[in-house]
Amino acid sequence: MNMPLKTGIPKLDELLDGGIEEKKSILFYTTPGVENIPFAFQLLYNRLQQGDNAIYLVNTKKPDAVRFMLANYGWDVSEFEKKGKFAFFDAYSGLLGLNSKERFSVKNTSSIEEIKKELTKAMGELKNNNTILVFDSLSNLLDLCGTPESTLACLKNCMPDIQKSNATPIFLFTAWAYDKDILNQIRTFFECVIDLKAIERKVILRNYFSVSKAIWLKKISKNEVPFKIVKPGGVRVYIPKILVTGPYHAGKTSFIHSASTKAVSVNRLGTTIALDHGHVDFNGFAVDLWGTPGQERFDPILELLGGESLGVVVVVDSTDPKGFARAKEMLELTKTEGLPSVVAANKSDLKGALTPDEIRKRMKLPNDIQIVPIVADDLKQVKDGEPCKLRQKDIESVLSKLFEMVV
Amino acid sequence: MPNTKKEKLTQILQKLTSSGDIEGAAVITRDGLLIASDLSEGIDGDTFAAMSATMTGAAETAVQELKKSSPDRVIVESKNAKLITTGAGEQAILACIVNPNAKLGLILIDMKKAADDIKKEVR
Repeated sequence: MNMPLKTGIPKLDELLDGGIEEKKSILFYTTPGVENIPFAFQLLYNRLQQGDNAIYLVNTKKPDAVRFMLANYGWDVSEFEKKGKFAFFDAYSGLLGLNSKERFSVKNTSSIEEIKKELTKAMGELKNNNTILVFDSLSNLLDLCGTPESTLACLKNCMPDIQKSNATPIFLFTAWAYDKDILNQIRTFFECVIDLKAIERKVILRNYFSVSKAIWLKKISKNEVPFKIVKPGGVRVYIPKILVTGPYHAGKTSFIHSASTKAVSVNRLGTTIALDHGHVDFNGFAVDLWGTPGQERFDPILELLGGESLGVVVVVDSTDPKGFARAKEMLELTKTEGLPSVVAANKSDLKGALTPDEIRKRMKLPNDIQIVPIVADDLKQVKDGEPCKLRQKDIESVLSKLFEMVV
Repeated sequence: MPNTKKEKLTQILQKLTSSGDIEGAAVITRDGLLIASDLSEGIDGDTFAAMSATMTGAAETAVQELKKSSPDRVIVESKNAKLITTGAGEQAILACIVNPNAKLGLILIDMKKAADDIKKEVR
């Protein structure tokens, strides 16, 4: 069996058991209002980097607009274009009566036959290699060319040729108010359907992706993964709120500043008095961290800070067992007991630090809560009253353990 | 295209900011997550939401400690802007960034109306 093609979106690869299978037809089935283009971009760029070829058929905007968007996400395709590994198929300029300067193009954008002819030519030129063939978008193709039924039938005819030339077709589709029957036909037509939708949960509208069909999978995971599009960067699994709590002086603010690409804190006189807020971009995840104050006098706002959290990092000072009871109390006050949590045992390299096992015993923690020892990057740099830099490896270990539990 | 809740809320916010004196506005859950916003480029909406909600929550808690009734709004005055937050139902607050020279009375009336509209949407 061939190796699956990794999409460059780790969580999606996981749902697809490693990635998409080559020469299978892939559909991104999208609720109106949700962005699907970054998924295609990320997949395409990742495949180009792996040495595959790619063609981007676009009928919704000018190819230059797509180049500009790609650059905005931090993906420069010009080198691949120069080498002939990547080309645009311009099915848009013709619509405006303009001549296209792209390697492949059609004059009559509403003729599926003409598109098919040019596509065969394109496939012929690139056939020696795996090729990703992006159709942006199927919805426009259905709107412009004949009836949706005839267009689908024509696409069905094209498929064997596409597959013969080692191409994997990726279609972007937005489910506007089409006939139910057509929508069903589209879903059955493709060998793999990835759904992108917006779901309202607790008054906030969030985007989710899930896999509803993939013929190479024995079992489809029902997992709906929340995502966010970041620029530059692309598709990220999105966790809007992870609470970072723990007793006074344990290192919560240090944790957040060390973990985040960007963080702000309301600190006065060396202690957090309202909250720390940081954005984390790690391992395909985009996460917002919320840090609480540790001192008892701020307890009245803890519940407010803890609301809607999806996971908790409890930071404790390994050398200060007196704080352990307070850590448990803070889980209660923030109403986050029972959520996925990881204990970050800070200062674990200092004299008198307890081992994770001792901490587990003293805190009476169940076995499913993991305890990760963390230490400062450089003890000489640690100043009292200022957040310090914690060792990256330790932070990443805490985050990856927690994210795995949350999603 | 279906009118989603987020679009409706964004419309309410855009109506507020179209008057000119309100430079930016956001609907935020009481616990600090951004629901909808109309803020200028370069403002980190998530952090702004978190801070505004915490500030509002802390102000409410401070007043409760005095055994007084909950505040109607929190006004922060700075040399080149005012930040005003007000409750919009049980779930949400409305935060506005206001031109410091604007007539505060009119702004507050606009905000009250918008908050009532938001309350109907966010339930």
